[in-house]
Amino acid sequence: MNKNTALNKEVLAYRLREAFLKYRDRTAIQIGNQAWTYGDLHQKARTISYSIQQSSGGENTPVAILGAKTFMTYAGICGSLLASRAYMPLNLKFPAKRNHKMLAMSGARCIIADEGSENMLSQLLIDDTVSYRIVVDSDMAKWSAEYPEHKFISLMGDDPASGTEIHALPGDIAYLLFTSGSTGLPKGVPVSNENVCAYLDHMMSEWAFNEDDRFSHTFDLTFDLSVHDMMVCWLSGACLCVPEDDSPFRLASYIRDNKISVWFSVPSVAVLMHKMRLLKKDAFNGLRISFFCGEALPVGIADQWLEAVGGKEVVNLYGPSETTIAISDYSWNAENKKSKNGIVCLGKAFDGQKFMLIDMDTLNPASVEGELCLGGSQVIDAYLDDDKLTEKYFVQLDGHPGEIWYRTGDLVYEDKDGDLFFLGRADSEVKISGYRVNLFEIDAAIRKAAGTEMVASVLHEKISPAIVSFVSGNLSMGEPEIIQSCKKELPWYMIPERIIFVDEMPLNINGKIDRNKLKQSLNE
Amino acid sequence: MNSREIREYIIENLKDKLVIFDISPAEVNMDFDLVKSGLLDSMAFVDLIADIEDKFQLEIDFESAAEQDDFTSLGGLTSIIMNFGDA
Repeated sequence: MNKNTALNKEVLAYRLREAFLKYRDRTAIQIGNQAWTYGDLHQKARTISYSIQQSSGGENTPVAILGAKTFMTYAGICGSLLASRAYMPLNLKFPAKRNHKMLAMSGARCIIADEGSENMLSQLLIDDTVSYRIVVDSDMAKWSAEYPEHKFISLMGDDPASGTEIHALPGDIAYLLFTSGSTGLPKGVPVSNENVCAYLDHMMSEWAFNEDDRFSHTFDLTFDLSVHDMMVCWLSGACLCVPEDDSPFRLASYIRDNKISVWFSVPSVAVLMHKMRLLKKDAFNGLRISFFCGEALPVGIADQWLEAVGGKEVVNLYGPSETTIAISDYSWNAENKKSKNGIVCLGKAFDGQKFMLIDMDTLNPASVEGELCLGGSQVIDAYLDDDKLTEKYFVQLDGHPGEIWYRTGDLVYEDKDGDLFFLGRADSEVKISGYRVNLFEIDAAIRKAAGTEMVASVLHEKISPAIVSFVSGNLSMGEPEIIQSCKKELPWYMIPERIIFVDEMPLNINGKIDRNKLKQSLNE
Repeated sequence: MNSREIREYIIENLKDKLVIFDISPAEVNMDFDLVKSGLLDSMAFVDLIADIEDKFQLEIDFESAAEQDDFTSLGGLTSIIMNFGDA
């Protein structure tokens, strides 16, 4: 193998292009009754890739993807990669302000917009001083007239010669996602081709996916688990079954109608289905593998799911976005049912990836219990444009010179077999339906809206965990106004369920707001 | 059990939420969508149905109910409950 071929293998676009050619006539995407072959996807992706390259101002920043789960959106993702660029998904369900922040932080100059994104697009373009190039599939005339400072590009004819040149390198970014940050700004997580290829190599060798598989697709594109759905599916020659509507209540018929064989969701989805009494014995025995990731998987739910799939494979995956989709796994079955505090075991790190437990304060190795640090080819190098954050979370550890370790902030327990168990968080981050939420980011939004420094948000841990924010001070704003202003700044999963006004914030021994006391008051 | 009783029960059940969202009970008519309005997330909506099932002593078939386009509207939910209540 010459050097170039070896490098190519570590670039997502090469792998995708190989799959597009190899599986040309097979179905790549199905949305309801509509289906597109790998050939269709390749054709459209090449056209988009060509438009990106032709219109490029020479920048190498990510291409923003604005759209619902449509063929145009998927072709936009593949087209960005084929154009040797990273993709950065926006979210139509986010407030415009949030999408705007992501656009600005990413430095994107090119946006691929599907037909349904007109409303959000116009909100993003208004008042923006940056001139964007926007690739659209629909009628352009009215857009160009309305936004003369931006350039609209209709999909030009394909030029196979120039549309397929891939020059991305393994170290180049494949996708850029944002996760909740403590300062009030989202954190940019750039994942390289090398990172994502390491993940794909592991998953595809561990679980023999095949051309007849039909993959579920429950995640938003801003959630990195969606990368698994798309890329593992397409590199296996399988069919990505896209839900026709966003209704979480129709997943049972979605699984059956689409004959899904590979399932992937957050545990919250399984909890919802359980509450709807849908997890009956053998109800979904067409699912040959079910993956769960993104939040703690309760034992009761894992057992119910195992029964619903007739005892077939149920896998608990674990891994922060910074370590690329997932980095450890545990198979839950009749013989293997390890758990701690009612939460399914996280298992062991994938082959070739490394973990270490450390003492949070000294960073010295800890045995049995400690903060989980991860290293290896799936771990990213740094956050986007933020040296301070990077220094805090990507550290060197004694005895491992020259290696970078990511501090997950997850406290774990390691048993004698080397299996890991989730114990809790070391910081202000919580999970809502699998989404990472930094409580300080919510505090920052409320502080700005309400004009008081005394804000503390906590997770109210009930069956469906919810955020409750406490505020004190002389406020002119009531609960509805504060919630409304949060809705303009934050994604839906970060909106507090309640705002509670207190005369005085309880303080702890260090003079900081005592969040534990506030949390306890919710249960009184 | 009639549709007025069901509506009254739902509004009573959600009264704290309505205050937070600044929605007057009068606005919650039969077309009002409990989920799309942002008032309830999917988990809270299913929890509401569980409360209704307890209150009116019935059990709905979620899979067929969810197929209805107006499943999450007050009117849609009310008619589903009445159907299962009669059965």
